Amino acid sequence: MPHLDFTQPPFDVLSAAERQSIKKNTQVRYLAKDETLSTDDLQYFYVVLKGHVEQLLDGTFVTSYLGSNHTDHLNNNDWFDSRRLPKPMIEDGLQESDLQKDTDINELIMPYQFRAVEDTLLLQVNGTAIDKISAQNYLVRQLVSENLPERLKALQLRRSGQHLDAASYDDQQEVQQIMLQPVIDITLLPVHIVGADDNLYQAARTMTEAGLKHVLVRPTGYLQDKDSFDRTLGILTDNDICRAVSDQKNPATTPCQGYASFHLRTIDADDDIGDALLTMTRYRIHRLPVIDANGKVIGVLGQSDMLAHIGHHSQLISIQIEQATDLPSLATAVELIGRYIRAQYQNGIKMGNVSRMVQTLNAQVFTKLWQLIVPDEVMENTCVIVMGSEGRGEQIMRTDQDNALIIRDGFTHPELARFAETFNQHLANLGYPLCEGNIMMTNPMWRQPLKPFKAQISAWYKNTDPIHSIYLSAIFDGEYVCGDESLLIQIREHLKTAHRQSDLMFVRQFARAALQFGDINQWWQKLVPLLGGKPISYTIDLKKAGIFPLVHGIRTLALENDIFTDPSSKGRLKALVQARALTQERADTLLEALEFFMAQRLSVALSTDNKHAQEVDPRTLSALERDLLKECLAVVKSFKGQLSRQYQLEIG
Amino acid sequence: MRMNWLKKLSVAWQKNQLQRPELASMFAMPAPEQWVAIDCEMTGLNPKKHHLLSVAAIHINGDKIDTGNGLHLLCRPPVMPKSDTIVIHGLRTADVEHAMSYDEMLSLLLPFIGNRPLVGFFPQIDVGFLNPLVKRYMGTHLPNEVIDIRSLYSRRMMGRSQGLPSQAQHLNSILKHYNIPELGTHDAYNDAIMTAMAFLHVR
Repeated sequence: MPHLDFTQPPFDVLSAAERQSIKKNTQVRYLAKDETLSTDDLQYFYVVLKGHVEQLLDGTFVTSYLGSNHTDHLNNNDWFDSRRLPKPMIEDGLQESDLQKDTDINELIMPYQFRAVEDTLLLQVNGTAIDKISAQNYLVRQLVSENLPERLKALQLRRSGQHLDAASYDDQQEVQQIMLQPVIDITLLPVHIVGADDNLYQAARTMTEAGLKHVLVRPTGYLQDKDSFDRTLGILTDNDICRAVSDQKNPATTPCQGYASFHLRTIDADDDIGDALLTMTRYRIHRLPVIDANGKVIGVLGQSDMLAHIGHHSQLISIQIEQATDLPSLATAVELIGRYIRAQYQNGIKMGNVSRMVQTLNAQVFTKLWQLIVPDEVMENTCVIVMGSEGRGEQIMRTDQDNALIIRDGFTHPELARFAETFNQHLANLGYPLCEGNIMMTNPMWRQPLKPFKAQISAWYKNTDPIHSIYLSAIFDGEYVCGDESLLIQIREHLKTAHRQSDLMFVRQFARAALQFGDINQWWQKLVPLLGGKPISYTIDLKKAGIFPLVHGIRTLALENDIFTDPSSKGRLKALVQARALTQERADTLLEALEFFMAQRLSVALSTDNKHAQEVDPRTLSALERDLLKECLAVVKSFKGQLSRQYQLEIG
Repeated sequence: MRMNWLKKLSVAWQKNQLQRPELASMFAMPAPEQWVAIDCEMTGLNPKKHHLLSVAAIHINGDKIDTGNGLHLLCRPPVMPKSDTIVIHGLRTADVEHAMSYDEMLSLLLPFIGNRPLVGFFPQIDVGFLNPLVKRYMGTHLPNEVIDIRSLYSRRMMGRSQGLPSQAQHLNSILKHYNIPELGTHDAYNDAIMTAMAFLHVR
């Protein structure tokens, strides 16, 4: 006689008392082929023991739930809460104010129907019993939550491979989310400010009394009114005083102005530790002033305090790259990046943090390599950028290199072509495969002075060839690596201008690509068992089904809203929320879904040692992953729907 | 264990009926400290109306249960299970329609149980389902001694507490009494293991 298996999620996190209570409230239920659950049955939580149930809305297929006969895993049965109601279609990025909460809305919502595709055996648990337990057990609540980000968190927690139980959850959580904690969780150094006109002697005294190795400097002409931000502050360190002394300056008469550094990198109080680490790594700085919502500095984040807080080793890789003097030593550092990715993944660190850190480290590798290849004058008169997923900071496995070289107008060097060739070749040797579409600086089209580069971009906006959209997508995602950053800034400026001058139809054409791959929900419908045998194996291409439509859709919205500064999907979403083009909630969901696909893709790639692997067979996933995969595919589907309504792309 | 003359006689007569000489060893005197735990899943309790769906058998040698080398066989019944009983045994049409025939099942099961005494919880039911099939297959019923752990348990509990014989009707109460762990799904194999564990306690 089948009964509840407590090693099966979501029941594997219950206490003994909770198990008893669930047991009492569980029955076994059988549905013959084609039988549906009646309205009275929609008050239960179901686990599919054997068989196959499909969920329909108004007769249209939504998704499927599979029993153990469809998977090779133990304890991998799908579950569903039949009480969940379809969400009303709130997906067009409307602001909350536009949504009149209508009391009748719930009465208008038709519930889902559940139909057995084959003879099916179910466990049915009283909904109220599940509610009672999830009210007191956080882990269950996460697993059966209606809210996608909650369930994704549950998956991450499980990924970390540590033993789950409610008691140890707090410690777990701390390890998991360490990169997501706000920077203000770290003890900040106190703020001491001197004026730029104050002399070095006063600054040194302030430091000594405060026991600090730095002091903040307020620039001359600073007015204390509400429009001035502390972001204009400078910093003076013990190092600067040392320089002044070795310049034989008299500390008592020399103002701080000449030795302080201004235009500091700062960080916001609500940024997370991952962001701070990234900024420090990327710009190789040791101190970050922390600015609150009012633009006031509330403390200084010191690198050593932060490292002590996280005990993380991306910094060490960074140092390795920094110290590399030739290709072999650089290759060692690149090897470390690979190991770092694996470790981060196994620790259940959030994908977005891993990928952005990897982007930063890769950018350092590229910088170092470029330095090793070219003389200083080339470095100063050109700008190296990376594009595509590397530019967006969303490439984790080194799948290919997309890069370009922007040259200052009027600058020439006879060896440029050879440098570019060497750069691409060396990167390939380091394990960044050559780009098959030849979007690399060795291709003259991607190695041009500013003016022709801009002309080229304008020509692409005419969109006379489908490849032009691909080129534009690449350059939209361009991110600075090294050289003269202003060259990239001018390219971005031109992307905006050229877009304004382009045909109004351009954005529609551009958006269309997001819909080019079919609806993957077909997958669950195709899952029909062969006569007396196993179902045919179908896999889902994570890139086509998930990553690409999300990335390209977000890219299109960013283009339309003139968002060019931060090409990462996360940055674009943030800016789209600020531009009120999307609600915060919608943006969060899109980002969560994207990161889920990226994590799945990484997991496939790590398990096969084929870094191009992006196909996943849903039957090989855990029930929780499969549930989330479905949910995230549903997010993609609704996003495509939003795009096609917004850009009138009725798919013929 | 000594066989009395009547038993010897009936064994001899049964052996006479045996149509499959290769199974003659089933009639030999069992070795000491060897048993086989069995459990079946059926579509109901009446051998005239219902059908066998699966059989599990596991050797018990001394105080060891040979869980790794047991048999767990699914059979194709002449009539497919009805929905009211599927929720009890969990075997759907799809699970048994491509399963083995009863004869195939017996060709594996009988050599496996050999001359060992059968240990079960209310094994008369299981044997009641097996015997008609066995008779058709080899000409005689199962010659094995049958041990019901319910009666061993009742004998154990005699005078220790009240009202036990009726309670002993439930395998669960025996399992609980000896703190025997619930093994995952209730299929024939897991039930046979739990029966074997209970047997080691009550023998």
